[in-house]
Amino acid sequence: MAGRDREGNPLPLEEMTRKSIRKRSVDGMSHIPEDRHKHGLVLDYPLDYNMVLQRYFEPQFTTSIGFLKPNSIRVYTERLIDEFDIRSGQGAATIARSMSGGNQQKAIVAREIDKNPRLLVAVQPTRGLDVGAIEAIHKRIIEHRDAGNAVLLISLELEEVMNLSDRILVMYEGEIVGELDPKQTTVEELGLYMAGAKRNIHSEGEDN
Amino acid sequence: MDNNNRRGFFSLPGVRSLLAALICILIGLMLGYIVLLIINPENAGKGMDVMLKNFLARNKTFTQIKHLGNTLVKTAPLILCSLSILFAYKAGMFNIGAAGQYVAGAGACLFFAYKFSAPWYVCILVAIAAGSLWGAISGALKAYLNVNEVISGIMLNWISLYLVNMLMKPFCKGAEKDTIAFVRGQSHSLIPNLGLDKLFSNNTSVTIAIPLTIIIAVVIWILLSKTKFGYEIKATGFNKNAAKYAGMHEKSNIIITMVIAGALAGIAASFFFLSGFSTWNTNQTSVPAMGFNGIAAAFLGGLHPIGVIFSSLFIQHISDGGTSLTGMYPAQISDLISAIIIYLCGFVLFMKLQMSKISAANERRRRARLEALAAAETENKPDDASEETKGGEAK
Repeated sequence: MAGRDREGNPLPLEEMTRKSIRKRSVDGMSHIPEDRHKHGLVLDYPLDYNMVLQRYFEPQFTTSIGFLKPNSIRVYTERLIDEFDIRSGQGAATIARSMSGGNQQKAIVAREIDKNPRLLVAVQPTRGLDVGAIEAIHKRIIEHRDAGNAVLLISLELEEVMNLSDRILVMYEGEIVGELDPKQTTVEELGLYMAGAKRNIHSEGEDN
Repeated sequence: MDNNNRRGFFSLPGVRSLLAALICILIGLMLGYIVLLIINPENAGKGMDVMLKNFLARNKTFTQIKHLGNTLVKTAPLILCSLSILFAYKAGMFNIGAAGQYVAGAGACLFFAYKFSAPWYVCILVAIAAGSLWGAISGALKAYLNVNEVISGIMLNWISLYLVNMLMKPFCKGAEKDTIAFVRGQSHSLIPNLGLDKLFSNNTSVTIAIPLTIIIAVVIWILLSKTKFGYEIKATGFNKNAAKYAGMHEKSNIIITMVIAGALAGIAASFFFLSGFSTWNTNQTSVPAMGFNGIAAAFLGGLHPIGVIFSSLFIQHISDGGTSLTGMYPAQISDLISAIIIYLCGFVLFMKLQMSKISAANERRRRARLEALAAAETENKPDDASEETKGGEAK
């Protein structure tokens, strides 16, 4: 957001808020949506079709005249199933609806991270998951950051925020009221910012 | 997991669709039989027999085959209409406007045939254009103004009907209500037979439209199940939000879908009217039933492009058989009986759902039993994977 990386070099900035969803996705943005049933998955599609939801048109999955390549889609899905430990009854052919919530979420995370995005927006990426799955997903997100990509994590879980973030921005009533360093702050202090009782950023960004 | 194999044959979606369709047909036939019994108990058995046999009820093989030809001539447009409905349905839209798109196609192809004596392929193309246009109107209204396609479709049905009635008036002889019949050999607007008429006891209405229809059904099947476009269409139909999230152009997809659905209905009309089987009645005040019967055929066919070929054939077979009832029963009875059966055909999805529920309940019970057994044998806690799948199925 400051437009500089950790060493202080300027980042190649690009305005993307006005681009189409497809363009954003192709240009390297991934999004783990808050509502996996509403946005994240086509529940009546098998898992393999869901895994290529934003990539089905790429040459590796579609021939030049517009036919899908079911084999490459399946092979790709099977790789993700192995890599991300997605449990599904009938492998790549499992209908997404019949999978458990945790595995649905793992599938979405796998899909979004495997796109290798420059910016990953993760909204509540571990909602409703068991401890093991949460660990796994957190590890993936950290790895993705370590590979030099930006991650914007939006979460209600303070534990998650404290554990994963390099920088925490607190929002209150639609504006950013605080920027905190997780190493120097406490959950209690975060709470004060969240409740609007404290702020360390004053009416910035009015002139955007 | 091994239990997927054990659930076996009856849980295959195709088998389930077929079973559901057969149950619906059976219930429909029984209800139809009851109605016949109420109206005229003596002839009920014979009536049912005549209706089910349709062309087979004729004495001579020659006439039997000729009447089979007639049924097929009417089946082809029915298949295309149900393809139109099915195609829109896959994208999450209910194309009740297929009837209007059919009428628009009929008007366009007949107009070109009468006015310009255009060759048959030109007439078909014009019918496709007209049907597509009608579909595009519904599609654009849906995509840009969020007008429900059912409402706009029904309105367009009536607009097209009276428009075409008006348009066809000059092509009636004198004060007659029907347009002039085409004469085979004289009009090159009729779709060629290519010898198919010989196969059906010189039934000149049997044209290459019938094989073409099958080809179109296969093409639609491939389009829906094998291509990128079909992937997008179905994703939009299953979950509009996810399609948008995936960056698909849902608005243009909606319009393209309706254009294709309209085109199919347009082809249906041209295949029917350019076979020379029937003329346009300019006094009709109800939209031709073809488009609506297509709805029943689409559902009876399990919403599968190949399935609708058979369901359409069955529905047309029953409808045609019903017309032979007129001797024993009042003239309206044939329509009534076929309507009852067709109506029941619409319940296929419901039947399928019930069947899934029953088998899911059985499955749950079976699993519970197995788990109880496993728990009794070992004192371990239940294994995670089976918990998860069970939870998924209960949803």
